[in-house]
Formats: sequence, C-alpha cells, structure tokens
Amino acid sequence: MTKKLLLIWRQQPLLSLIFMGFCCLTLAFAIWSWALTPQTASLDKPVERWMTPGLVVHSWRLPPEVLSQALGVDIGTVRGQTLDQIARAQSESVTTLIARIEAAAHAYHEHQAQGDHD
Amino acid sequence: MTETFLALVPTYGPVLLGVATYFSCFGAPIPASILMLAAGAFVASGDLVLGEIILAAFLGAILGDWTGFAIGRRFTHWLERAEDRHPKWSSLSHRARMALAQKGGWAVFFSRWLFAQLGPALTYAAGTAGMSWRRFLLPQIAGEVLWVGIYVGLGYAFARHISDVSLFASSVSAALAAAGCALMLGGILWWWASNQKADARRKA
Repeated sequence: MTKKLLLIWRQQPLLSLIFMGFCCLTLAFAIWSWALTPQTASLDKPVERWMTPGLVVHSWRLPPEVLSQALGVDIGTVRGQTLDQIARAQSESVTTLIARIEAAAHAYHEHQAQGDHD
Repeated sequence: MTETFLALVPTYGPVLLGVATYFSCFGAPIPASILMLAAGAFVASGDLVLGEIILAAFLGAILGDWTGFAIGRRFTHWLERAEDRHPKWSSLSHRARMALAQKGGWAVFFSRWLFAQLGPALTYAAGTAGMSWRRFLLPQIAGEVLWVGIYVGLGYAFARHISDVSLFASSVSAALAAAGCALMLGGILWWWASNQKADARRKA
C-alpha cells in the first residue's frame, strides 16, 4: 500500500495535490456544517420577505387571526403570496410590514407566557 | 440570490420545481435542492400541494438526466475516434470507459442524491462512455426518487427552521460534493497505480 501511495505521489504530483485539496475542502465544509446545525428555535429568527403568511403562522406558532390582524387582511385571501407581494399590494414597505408581524408575534407569545405563569 | 429563488417558490410552485430540477440535472447552476427544501416547507404551511411538488420535481429531474445522457452518448463516437488517433492513452481511456459503462450503476445511483452536485458530470460521462440506457435507467430513477423524497421531506419536517435548514443543507451538499470529488479522484489514482504495477509485473 505504501509503495502504491509513493508511486502515485511521484508520478502524479499534481493530481495528488488536487486530491489533498478536495480532502481539505471536505473537512472545511464538514466543520462549517457542524457550526450551522440548526439549534435555535425559530421564534428567535427574523421574519423574511420571501415567506408566506402560512409559513409565518406555521413557523412562529401563531393563530391565523393574530397574523391576519397584523397584516390587515384575512390570510386565507393571500394564501401563496409572499410578504413582499402583500406589502406591495398594500403600498407599504416590506420592512414596516415585517416589523408589525414581529411585534404581533412577540406580543402574542408574551401574552401566552404570562397566561402560563399565572 | 437564493432569496430571489425562494420568493418564486410559493408563486410558481410545481412549474418552477420542474424547470429547476430539469436544468440543474444537466448542469445549470440552479439551487434545485434548496428549492425542494423550501417547497417542502411551503407544503407544510399549506401553500403548496405535496403530490404536485413531488411529481413536478421528479419528472424534471428524470427528463434532465435523460437529456444530459443523450447529449453524452452523441460524443461516444468522437471519443472512440480520439482513442484511435492517440494510441498512447487509448488503452487507459478504453478501460476507464468500459469500467464506467459496465459497472457504473452505483456511481449513477449515488451521484443522483448523495453526491448530487456531481450528478450532471457523471450523467455526461456515463453517456459518453457508452453506458446502455438499460443500465442507466434503474439506478437513475431510484436515485432521483431518493433525491426528491429526501429534500422535499426534510423541508416538510423542518419547515419551522427552514432558513437555518437551507444554509445547513447548502453546506452539507458542498461537503458531500468535495468528498465525492476526493473519492472519485482517489479511486482513479488508486486504479491507475494498480494498473501500472500490473503492467510492470507483466513486462518483467
């Protein structure tokens, strides 16, 4: 086995270096993946402009009526639309819309936590 | 860039998935795996229909592979002619081609889902090596079923963490692609060294 490895190294130095490069890349991406392993609950994550009301309700565990109130429309009527599209249809900035959703989500969860505490 | 693609998923759903998997399967730089994860999450949130997403992604992937394989097969004669013109490497090239054409089924299978980023290159290589359609179809279809099923399933299961999962999945697939390249190159070098030793023994 050692003889074979030496033969490869002596006769194909460039390909051997490329092979080692791929091994290093594998290790680097494996470490990066480990660091990125999803751990935090999504309630701490920001709402993104590409999300739909359905996904926000599902991810942030909100009752649909809480989100409907924050959006100013019944979420059943905007199913499949992204927050970006909804904001444009309402002629407001998506950042303002997202801030309103996050405030409503936090208020709802605080209220729930207080209810559990009492 | 990925965000722009993600925003298209709930709007264009199955059509986008079909087109994305089709073009990604013969090498276009489209993040089809991430789109399938996102589609799975939108299925969980009730925005998309599971059956439509699975069918569209699967059909796109199958047709994309077939296109790449058919293109590869058009180059078989070109490679054979090149082998005739360059006898020095024709023996090595011929042996590598035969090995891939006759025993490359597992490589086709694993490059569909586990080392998915190597899929297009392997599809062209299998076609050019002269692999028969019969040998290609079974591992290809089985591999694509797993690719679509795993990514849409993961998106569905981890819909609540979809932002994190997308980033994690990109990083894992990059690690797997690098590992796949290392394995392939390592295998080729090992095979080459074994042949060199066998040739030396024969000459002695």
